[in-house]
Amino acid sequence: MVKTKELLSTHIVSQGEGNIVSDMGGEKVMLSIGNGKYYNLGEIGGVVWDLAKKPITIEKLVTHLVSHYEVEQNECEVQVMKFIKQLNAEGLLIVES
Amino acid sequence: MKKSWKVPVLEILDIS
Repeated sequence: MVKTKELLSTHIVSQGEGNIVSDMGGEKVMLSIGNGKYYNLGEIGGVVWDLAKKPITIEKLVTHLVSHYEVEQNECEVQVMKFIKQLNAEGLLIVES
Repeated sequence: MKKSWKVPVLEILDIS
């Protein structure tokens, strides 16, 4: 497990277990069985979640997003890393080096 | 054609 403040683009992310996930109006919502909280990941967050179904580097994840959305590489990486930190802090995403 | 980008944000829903 990696401390989120040390997050690098070479780190690998994957979905955490114990979540009930559903698509609602184009957005990804989920219930964590572990802490009983409900989350809305939004549209882009849902794409990130789906990409993390199998372990994937943040670099590849960002490359995929940049190729499908109107966003610059650097901007995308900064925003996605911040998002991954949030999910990791809530135990939804696992981050490994 | 690329889709418009939205900043990904994790929203924690308060459902009692």
